[in-house]
Amino acid sequence: MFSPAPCEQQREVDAEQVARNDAVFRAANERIRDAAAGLDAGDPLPFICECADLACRELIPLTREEYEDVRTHATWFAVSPGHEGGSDGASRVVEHGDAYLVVEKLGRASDVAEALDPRGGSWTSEHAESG
Amino acid sequence: MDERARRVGLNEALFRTVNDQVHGLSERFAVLAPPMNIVCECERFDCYERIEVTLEEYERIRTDSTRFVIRPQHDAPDVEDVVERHESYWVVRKHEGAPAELARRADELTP
Repeated sequence: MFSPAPCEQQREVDAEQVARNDAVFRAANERIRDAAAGLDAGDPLPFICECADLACRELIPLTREEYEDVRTHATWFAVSPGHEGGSDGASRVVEHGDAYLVVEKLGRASDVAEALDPRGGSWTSEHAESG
Repeated sequence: MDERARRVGLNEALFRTVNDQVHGLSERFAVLAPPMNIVCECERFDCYERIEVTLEEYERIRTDSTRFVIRPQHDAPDVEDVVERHESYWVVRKHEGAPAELARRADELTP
């Protein structure tokens, strides 16, 4: 059966919604990081996969350093291997860790990720490339 | 309290924090993800075994700061008692005294 491709505007809306959902998962991981600091927990720490699947609750082990590296960039998210897909053209893989991947949001999704960054970051590799 | 008991308590508190965040996500996106898939709250730092519980079940257990959800056989008898045995998970309660106090304090410390 023929199913029409979503129009560009619809793709942007979808990417924005995915980015908003991802921001909720990122906020949950920020609370895990804060709790780990208070509990004097060792590395690695169990973080929740930040992929686009709302039903995903997979855990990814990241050291503090690895997690902080991801969080340095407002548009970067840590996901389980195989979870990097989701929003068509709205993200790309920028790092491969041992047990995780880092994806960067692009386009409208990038704008939303930056706007919702709890740390108020403003750097993206797109900026670096254009600069 | 000895160092091992302290380490066990803090580790279990960390995984409970993870599960609280999973709980928050499951509430927020409830239509898409019933029931909850939480992580074992046992003493082992590298245990990521999963346990399926309903939101209501998790909330019931979680009302007591000294109770933790673990996979069967993952209990640490020197610091906790098994108080519920289900097919896929057990519930443990910290011994009164230092282990229970640590669990309560950790609950206050974590977001």
